[in-house]
Amino acid sequence: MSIYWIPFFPLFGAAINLIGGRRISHKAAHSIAIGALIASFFVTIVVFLQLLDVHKSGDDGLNDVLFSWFDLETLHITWGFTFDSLSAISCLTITFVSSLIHWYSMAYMKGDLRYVTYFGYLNLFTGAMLILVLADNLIMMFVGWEGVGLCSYLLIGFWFENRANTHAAKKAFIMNRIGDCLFLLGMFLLFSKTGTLIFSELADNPHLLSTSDATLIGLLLFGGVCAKSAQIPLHTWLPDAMAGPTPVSALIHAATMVTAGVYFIARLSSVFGTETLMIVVTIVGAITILVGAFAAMGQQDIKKVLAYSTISQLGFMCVAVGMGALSAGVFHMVTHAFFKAGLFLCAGSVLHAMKGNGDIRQMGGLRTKLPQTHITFVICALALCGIFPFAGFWSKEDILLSVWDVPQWKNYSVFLWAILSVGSVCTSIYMARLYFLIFSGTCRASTQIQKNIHEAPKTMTIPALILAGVSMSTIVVGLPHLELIPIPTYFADFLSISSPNYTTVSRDSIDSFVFMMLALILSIGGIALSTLIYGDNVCGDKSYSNKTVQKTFQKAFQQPSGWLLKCRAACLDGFYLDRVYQSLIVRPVSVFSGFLYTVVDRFIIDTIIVHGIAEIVRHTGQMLRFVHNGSFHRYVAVLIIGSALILYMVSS
Amino acid sequence: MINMFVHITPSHFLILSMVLFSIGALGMLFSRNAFVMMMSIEIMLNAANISVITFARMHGDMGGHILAIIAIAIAAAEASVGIAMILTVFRTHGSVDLDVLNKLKH
Repeated sequence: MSIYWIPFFPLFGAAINLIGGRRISHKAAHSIAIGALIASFFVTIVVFLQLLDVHKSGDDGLNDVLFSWFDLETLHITWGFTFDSLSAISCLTITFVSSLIHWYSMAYMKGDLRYVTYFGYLNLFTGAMLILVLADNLIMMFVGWEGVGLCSYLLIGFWFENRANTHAAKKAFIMNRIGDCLFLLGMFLLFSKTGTLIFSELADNPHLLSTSDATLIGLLLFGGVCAKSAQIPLHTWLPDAMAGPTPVSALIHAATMVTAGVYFIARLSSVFGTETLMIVVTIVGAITILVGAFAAMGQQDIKKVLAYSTISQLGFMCVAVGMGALSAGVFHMVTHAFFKAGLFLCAGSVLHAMKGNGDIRQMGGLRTKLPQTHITFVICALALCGIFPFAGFWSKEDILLSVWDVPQWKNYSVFLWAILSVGSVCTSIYMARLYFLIFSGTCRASTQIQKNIHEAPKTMTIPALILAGVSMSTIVVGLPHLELIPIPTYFADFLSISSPNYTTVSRDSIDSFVFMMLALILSIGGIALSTLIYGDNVCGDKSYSNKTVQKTFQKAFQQPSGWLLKCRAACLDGFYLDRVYQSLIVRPVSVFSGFLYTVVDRFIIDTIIVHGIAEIVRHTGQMLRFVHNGSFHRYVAVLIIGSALILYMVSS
Repeated sequence: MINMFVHITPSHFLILSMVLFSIGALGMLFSRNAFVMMMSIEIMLNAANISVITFARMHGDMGGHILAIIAIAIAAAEASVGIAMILTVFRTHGSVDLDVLNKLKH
């Protein structure tokens, strides 16, 4: 089975649904889309089994060239696919999660006007992401990279009847273009320095790049990563991307799009190996963790909380890959895909019950009304908080432990560890807050909505439950490597076959155990704090607990005053970054383009140049009109005198 | 016999040509009648023919004679077309006065 069949099926499904449009019935549309994804998933498994065989014989991975795309002197670009450990893991995650999301969409999007188109886009999205992860050169990867950018635009603005959605879509698109611009520059520079854009050649010849070149190229490429993976300062599109249908958010946050950046750094680890660059990636990741986590605590919309949570978790992945702990980063990418997709699908069910109103202040008490969603949400949320023994615990611990392994961070390890820990405590706080405000207490929605609250259909709850189940069980493959304890570490070992950069460090068991316990205690502490504040109280209600401590906390958080109020407002607004961009970039640009429009375009070009020339010609014509008076004699006279003059001038 | 009066040189022919050409040109300028202008054109053409043949004789080249004969043939054709047009104009407008025939102005 060839590798190219993996992206082929979703792309083919997309072609049928997008070209067919309204001629295709809804049933046929989702059958095609889901069938394509399942076919792709099975192909991935078959190829994965082949890969295991190949690994046994000592090879890195499978390569497959579909056809040569273009040749320019020294640049040979092919539609080449590579299937090594990293792309295998990504492909399995993408096709699996994406299949479930397709399945879920069937019920969620039921009766939508553009149902067929929706499935077409969804397939295209997955197909583009598969091209991205399977590409064996940068140009091919860029095809997928732009493909997911396009699909995110189309899907975020899917309900374009609402003006706000189109704005969100445009914002996502433009933010990504900024990153892509840097990405392209990095790519050009990389080619001019090394003469190749093929990953395996880049990885085999690290000496082609000097350190300063590698740093510059890496920084440019990292600009693209920042936009795609929603890192500071290009992350603001992600919360707005919630305008799209909820399954799309699940897809963007879990399987496709945002993980592309992290995948890219892992893939190009040979270029990203310089010290300065690693430090930049780590610092940006660390800031992103904090910004995302704090903003998530202040949000009032269920999907916005999850969106900022994703930003924060992407920060974790970025820190991991920045520190060189690639397997930890990739593992977190995979586990995060499962539980975040699960959470978004739960959010979809909740929105379904709440008639599309995502304000968590108006929810509450949904535990009994949405029992299955409740269970799924609890499992996924615990996984996200990093509670033992769920998947998130292992992947997050792996990242937290890696902090101590990085030699160049030796003096700052404690500091970095503290940032990551604060991030994970915040994660616990906002997830617990989300849980309590949605599922516990009494329902605060209007009576009309309350009457209609019902559990989502099975096609929506089952995919989410499967994802929850997977987030519980992925621990088996991703245990950390500890000294003296002979536990298998399949994930890291599997990754390290394809690239030596993934080798894991064997850690001291007792130290690791202490730190793991500490992190676990911190996470549980976060949940406890959240319980204290939001646990038994109804949001916005002024009835406080009798206990003094609890009362103080509740007062502070729910009726904040002074600087706390300001903090909460800042969190709610995403630290005013949007406003900063608005006044620093958008406003000047629109003023400048207004100037270009009125002065340069309307006045100079239109009035002076275009109309000016026409006026000159018209006036000259007016003036010359009297010459043509129809008098034959005058013409003859002019002819004779004129030719006489010419002859005279020629002869003399 | 001719030699008795004056010795004729090529410049005499050229002067004749010039005089004829000027007569034609003045006829063109000062005549209103299309027929007269037609004849003026013929005079100018023949003036040109005379100078061409003169130069041909001066250089002993037969090419000029051929050119003149072709010009005469074309002038005949042109005259017939021109007169036909003037006749048609006269039939439609009742006049061949060019000061009246200025309809193309507007």
